[in-house]
Amino acid sequence: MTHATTATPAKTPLRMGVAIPNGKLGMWLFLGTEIMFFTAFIGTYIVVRMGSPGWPTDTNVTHIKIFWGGLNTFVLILSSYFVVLAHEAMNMRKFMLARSWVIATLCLACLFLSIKSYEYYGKFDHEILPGRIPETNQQACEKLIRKLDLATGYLALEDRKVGIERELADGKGGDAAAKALRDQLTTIEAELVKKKEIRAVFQPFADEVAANRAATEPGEVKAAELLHRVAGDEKKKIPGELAGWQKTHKELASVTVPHPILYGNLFASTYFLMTGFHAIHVIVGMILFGLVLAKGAKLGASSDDAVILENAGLYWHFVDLVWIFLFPLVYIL
Amino acid sequence: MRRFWALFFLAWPIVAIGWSWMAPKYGWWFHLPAQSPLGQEIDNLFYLILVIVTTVFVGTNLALFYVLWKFSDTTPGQKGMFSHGSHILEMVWTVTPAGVLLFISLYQMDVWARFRMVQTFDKQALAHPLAEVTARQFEWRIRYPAPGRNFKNKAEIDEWLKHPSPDDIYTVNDLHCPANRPVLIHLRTEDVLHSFFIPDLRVKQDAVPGLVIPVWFEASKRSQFDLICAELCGWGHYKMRGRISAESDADFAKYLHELAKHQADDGVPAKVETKEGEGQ
Amino acid sequence: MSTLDHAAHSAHDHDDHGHGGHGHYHQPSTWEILKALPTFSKDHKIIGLQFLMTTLIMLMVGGALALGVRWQLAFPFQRMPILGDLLFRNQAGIIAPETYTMLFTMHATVMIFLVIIPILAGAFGNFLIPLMIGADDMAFPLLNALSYWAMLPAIFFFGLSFFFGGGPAGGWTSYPTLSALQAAAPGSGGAQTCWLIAVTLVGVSSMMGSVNYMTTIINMRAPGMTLFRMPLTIWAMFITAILQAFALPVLTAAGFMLLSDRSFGTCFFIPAGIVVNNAAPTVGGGQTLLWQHLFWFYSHPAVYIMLLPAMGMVSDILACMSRKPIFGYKPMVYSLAAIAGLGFIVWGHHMFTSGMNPALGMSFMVSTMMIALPSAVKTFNWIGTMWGGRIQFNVPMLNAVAFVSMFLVGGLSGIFMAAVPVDIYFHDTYFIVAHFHYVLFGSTLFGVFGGIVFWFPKMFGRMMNETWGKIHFIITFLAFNGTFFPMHLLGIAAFPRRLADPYQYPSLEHLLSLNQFMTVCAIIMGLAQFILLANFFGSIFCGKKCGRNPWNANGLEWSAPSPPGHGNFESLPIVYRGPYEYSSPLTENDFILQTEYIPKSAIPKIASTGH
Ligand code: HEA
Ligand code: HEA
Ligand code: CUA
Ligand SMILES: [Cu+2]
Repeated sequence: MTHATTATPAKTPLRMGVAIPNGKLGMWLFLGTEIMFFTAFIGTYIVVRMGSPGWPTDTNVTHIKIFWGGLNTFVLILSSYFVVLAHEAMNMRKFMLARSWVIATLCLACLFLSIKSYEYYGKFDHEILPGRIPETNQQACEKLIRKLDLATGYLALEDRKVGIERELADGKGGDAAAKALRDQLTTIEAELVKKKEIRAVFQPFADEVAANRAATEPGEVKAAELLHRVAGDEKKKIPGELAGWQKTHKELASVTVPHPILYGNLFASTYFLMTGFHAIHVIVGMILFGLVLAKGAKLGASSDDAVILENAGLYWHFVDLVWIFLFPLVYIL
Repeated sequence: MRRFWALFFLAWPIVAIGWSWMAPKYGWWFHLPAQSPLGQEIDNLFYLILVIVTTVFVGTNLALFYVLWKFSDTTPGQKGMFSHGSHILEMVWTVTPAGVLLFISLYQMDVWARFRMVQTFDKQALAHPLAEVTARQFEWRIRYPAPGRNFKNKAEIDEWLKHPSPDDIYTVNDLHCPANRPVLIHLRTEDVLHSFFIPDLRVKQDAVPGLVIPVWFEASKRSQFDLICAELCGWGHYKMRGRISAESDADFAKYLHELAKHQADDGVPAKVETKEGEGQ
Repeated sequence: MSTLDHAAHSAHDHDDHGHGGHGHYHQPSTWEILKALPTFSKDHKIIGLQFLMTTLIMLMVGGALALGVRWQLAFPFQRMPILGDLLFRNQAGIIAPETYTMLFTMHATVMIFLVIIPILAGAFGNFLIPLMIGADDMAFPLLNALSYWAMLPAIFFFGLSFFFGGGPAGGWTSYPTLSALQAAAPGSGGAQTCWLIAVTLVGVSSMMGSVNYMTTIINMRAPGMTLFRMPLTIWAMFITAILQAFALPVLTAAGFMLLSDRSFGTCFFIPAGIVVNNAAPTVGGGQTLLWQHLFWFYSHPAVYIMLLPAMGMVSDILACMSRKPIFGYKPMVYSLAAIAGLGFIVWGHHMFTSGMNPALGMSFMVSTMMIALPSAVKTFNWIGTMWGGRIQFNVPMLNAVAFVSMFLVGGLSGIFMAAVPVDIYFHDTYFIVAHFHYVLFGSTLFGVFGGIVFWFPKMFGRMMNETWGKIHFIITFLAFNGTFFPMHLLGIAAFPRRLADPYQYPSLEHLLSLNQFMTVCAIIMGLAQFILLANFFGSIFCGKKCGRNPWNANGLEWSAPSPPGHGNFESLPIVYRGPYEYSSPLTENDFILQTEYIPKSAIPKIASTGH
């Protein structure tokens, strides 16, 4: 292995390296790291999904909105196209045109985010949230009871009562304050009595659930029929106990029966992880374009504006690409 | 002085080897030779690798010593040898180790397979699991099936693992097993990672939250062995200590009955008969 | 310096931070350098020194923690003198079990994330890359500065973590569910959260660094500095940067998942029905092993991130101090690449007993064994480099040779563990601890010590004290082996890692005396580090002054003034040959600077037939 010991100084290029400006090269390398970042998430998703027989796929259960997801895919691809146009306009030194394409891209980005937040809203609405989803009938029953208690406001009152009692205990603020507190306490207790009788209507149910839990091995079967008894059956138009309770006590009207989703929490975790981090990247991309726009009318005055826009564009294409992977993985499969 | 450093770098490997040579005398070596057939094979592998590695160690250190000794020459005005290496040598010391290492790794496979691959497990042991061992902070909970209980099929075993049956026998930190034949336990954990480590039997298996892992071992001597928790599991990790007692089949059967009786006594007396009944 | 005549003076493209041409080249005084250290400087040399100082302090911290560990192992649950009274007065200077877990967790964390990785990539990478490839600075100076200042919040959060439940105690591997469930241990609460945040920040820092290094090395080499004329240090830094860039994001991702498991109720790593401390059983069905896969997918490449740069530096030192071309330059480069490449497919060897699919175990065993091959090439090429040279036993050389002989030990012990069945026994015993201290301290840190002494003249224009250097070397070398060699024997005796008090096991009781011996050695080794510090800081002010090229080395950095001013070179250097042309027949003296132009006419006949 011989080194060119006889090299002459003639026609050596001024710097070695590839014919790409540092900024762009750096961006490419950075995107490489970004790819690994999302690979980890997607890999995780595939692994946990493979390892979880009975993964929830029914969109009525998961409240996945394939249509909106698809629309978002289209929106992003279109925005990517606009970026290309902006870039071209930049090269043709039509800076104001470039500017308007960037603005168009930003609008699409906003559209994407708003659709996304609409989807998220749907998830929150049905409590498809990590850690909040019952996975067994027993858990569903217990969750139902919690919801009922919340609806009656029973728990909230209990808390306030405890709070006031504590204040009374360390009684600062003299007698006047203490008296006021005691009055409050009496009113609260009065209300609590009312609440208690509301609770009375589903107390038996609560007891049965508790009993079922206490059983040496929690009986899923039992829990299932308990749940069914309360929920009734929409298709067969058989009203469950809950309907009855709601007739007598309108406070409970809002309560709906939670249904167990096996691996629901894992599903929600991965869904929010992947789409969430993608959304963050979208926002970062928007900031980059913001920087371009911030140049205002002076856009193109400096030679590296083109580079900035190009890098922002590169980043944006990447964000787009990630989504193109996520969409089929999360929404369709 | 010129040669001092060459000797310095030769001295310590000599010390190291001497040290290791003396080590067994002072008990700085395996507490006991492996007390299980598979363990013996692991020991053999260890010694095989030890020989290979020591050869490499000695050889390389001698070479190092030689260059340091021979070429520590600093008479002024002299130049070093002007060479950029040799492809033949490169090949030699790539291919030779490659051979050695491939040999080592292929030679291992079978032992590993016998330790971990369920297909290779002893059928008898698989069909009659000794116990379910559940690790938790910071103790080993042991659940034997009722004495003489026969599992019809794998499904029944899985069922037994999911739902304890009322006649199971429980104890803590003291796992008894018949010696001189493979026994199998189902390892699980209630909270965090633990690791089921019996040094003298050369057995180690992590207990993983969410998994039930079958582990088999065979004590080739009637004796008691330490059971160490080898995976960090919290502040009490260091005191999560158990014991394995390998005994004759008769003693083991006796032990189980004692346990069963003792457990049944403080229950409803009625139960005792049924237990005894099943016992026979 | 015949260089300068030939260098094209016009050449100042790529002037990324626009300090114009170098008409106004100004060589900083020691005082100016020191003044710049606490400032937000964008000069790669200053940033490099900032990293160096910070990591040296962190070495102290990590070492002090290590001595805590050692104390407990030698005198379990007995009052610890100086440090104990300082650190845990409330426990009467006695190390409680949970404190012990914290000690080795933070010891490892500090040493790995705040010493070894930043001192190699951060300190040496920053200082050397532009100098050795003939650039006037990094490609992105601002990013470079940020990568240092991102370290400080990380250090802050590590520090903060001590104030929750006695500090993180999940081991530096922080396996779930111990690290995922807040109730699992005293240290699994806020401490663990701080720990994760800090690790993420360190990650961000190295991230910025690595992208910067890659761009710089690819795009900012001086004229004539072809890829295969780069010093091995640069190759190592380049490959390390690639490793960082593609392995680290995975850890960051995993870190986010673990954080959200802890804080937002997700359950990636938490299976259903887990109960710690009688807390409510967990819902959701995550997989604990997933963390181990993700963690090691980063952390195995990370161990090579902690080694390769040292290998590069050692190669340079060995060649220079043997006055001889490196033996097999290209094989050295390819073996670096091979180690890095293989490094991505061996992570499973940390999980042999974890209960993962046994078939995987086999494939991981083979790939792990294969990593020994490129390592073999390196080891033997180093010896080949010294063969036939004129070895000068100065401090850099001694540390470099120590690197070789220690790496041999660390590497060979790796072979035992790579053998799956043997690892069944050795996993989580002190055999592992012996292994990685031989590679991490024995190899990398000795390499670093060598590197510090070797490039110190370039940093401050003065030499470090030779005698004290040798004293520090001898003590550290002996004490090191005294501390860590016995760990092999402990491992063979099944002495388990991470145990606050192993001696309660009858089969381990008798190992106490050996441990006490090791602890004494460790303390000596610790104190020896003060010599290094004294020598380092002392020499900054009263070391022997030196010129551009005190070692008569070939590298580009030696053609710049020491210390180099802002912009490094008075004028763009032009490179005519590789960095290892020592004892070349082309000239009388036994070295030729890469920038030295030798006209054809001046080349003696032998050159054409030469080598
Ligand atoms: C710089 C860091 C570094 C380096 C370079 C290495 C290098 C290697 N490591 Fe190590 N390793 C760690 C740091 C490192 N390791 C750490 C920190 C841990 C513990 C983590 C934790 O659990 O906390 C660990 C743990 C670890 C394990 C897991 C053990 C366990 O937990 O059960 C294994 C198992 O295979 C392993 C193997 C190897 C191998 C095969 C190499 C090889 O690369 C070595 C190759 C080199 C040689 C072999 C020597 C030179 C070669 C020759 C002279 C040729 C001739 C040789 C033969 C023919 C045999 N290492
Ligand atoms: C680069 C990495 C690195 C380095 C340099 C070291 C250096 C040292 N390490 Fe270790 N260590 C690890 C990485 C490292 N370590 C890792 C990854 C683990 C695994 C942790 C886990 O299981 O999770 C570990 C674990 C570990 C253990 C096992 C703990 C256990 O499992 O129970 C032990 C035990 O002896 C140990 C000891 C030491 C000692 C004595 C030093 C000495 O070399 C330190 C000597 C240096 C100094 C002391 C610095 C000088 C300090 C001062 C001058 C200030 C104070 C000094 C005095 C007052 C004297 N380390
Ligand atoms: Cu259980 Cu460690
Ligand atoms: Cu590894």
